[in-house]
Amino acid sequence: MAGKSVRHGLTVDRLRFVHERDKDSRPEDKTGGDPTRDSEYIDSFYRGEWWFIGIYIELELIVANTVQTIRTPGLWGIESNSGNRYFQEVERQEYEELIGILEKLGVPRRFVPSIASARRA
Amino acid sequence: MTTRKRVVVVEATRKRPAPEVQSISVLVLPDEDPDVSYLDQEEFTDRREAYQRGDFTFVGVRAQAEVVIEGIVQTIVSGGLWGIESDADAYIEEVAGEEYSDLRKILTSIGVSTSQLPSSMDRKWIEWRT
Repeated sequence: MAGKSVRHGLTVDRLRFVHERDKDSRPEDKTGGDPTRDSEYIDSFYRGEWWFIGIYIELELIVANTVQTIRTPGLWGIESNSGNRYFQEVERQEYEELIGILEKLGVPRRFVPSIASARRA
Repeated sequence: MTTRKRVVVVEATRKRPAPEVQSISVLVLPDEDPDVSYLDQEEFTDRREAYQRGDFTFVGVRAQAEVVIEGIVQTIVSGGLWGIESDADAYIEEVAGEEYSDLRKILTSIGVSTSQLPSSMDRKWIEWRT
């Protein structure tokens, strides 16, 4: 039920999943600092065959005629070749986190656009 | 015969914790795309020349607050007013006060307690980022 006014004139608008390049994560972080361990994993990263991303969710909330962007902290250090199934699992977790934030703001779950309506960016 | 009274235990109603304000600021930001067409009018000749000399630029004023909701910091902003001459100090301060007032309304709409929100702007919150 996106775009429906709820408490004190709060209106929930667009929802989107953001897949953003994670420039801080390194493959060495995943191999316990031992560069000899799984060297193909590390080498393929530095050959640019894959990279790290973070996934978070953003939602536009209209409050007193202003558009506010509410977001989840996101999950970072995800391998870009993890596959759509894993991405969807993370997106579901982020969606639940967003629901928690919105409930604190007095927006019941039923007013939040469905996960299926979210776009990926 | 005695009947035992059935005791129903229910969870006490809990008040939803209010979002907590971490910081408030009123930003004066560069206006990258100002509408300067009014300077073409004859009565603004002096101002147009001053603008062309770089004596002033254009800025926007926006109030913002960092608010912790569910342990996550969210940035809440006022709509902002743009196209203000950067040397209009008194007017900038007036707009800053109005922007804070708008931000206060937004924050109370999302459940921030007024005890965390002074009724008027503190001049110390004005931050020039030009």
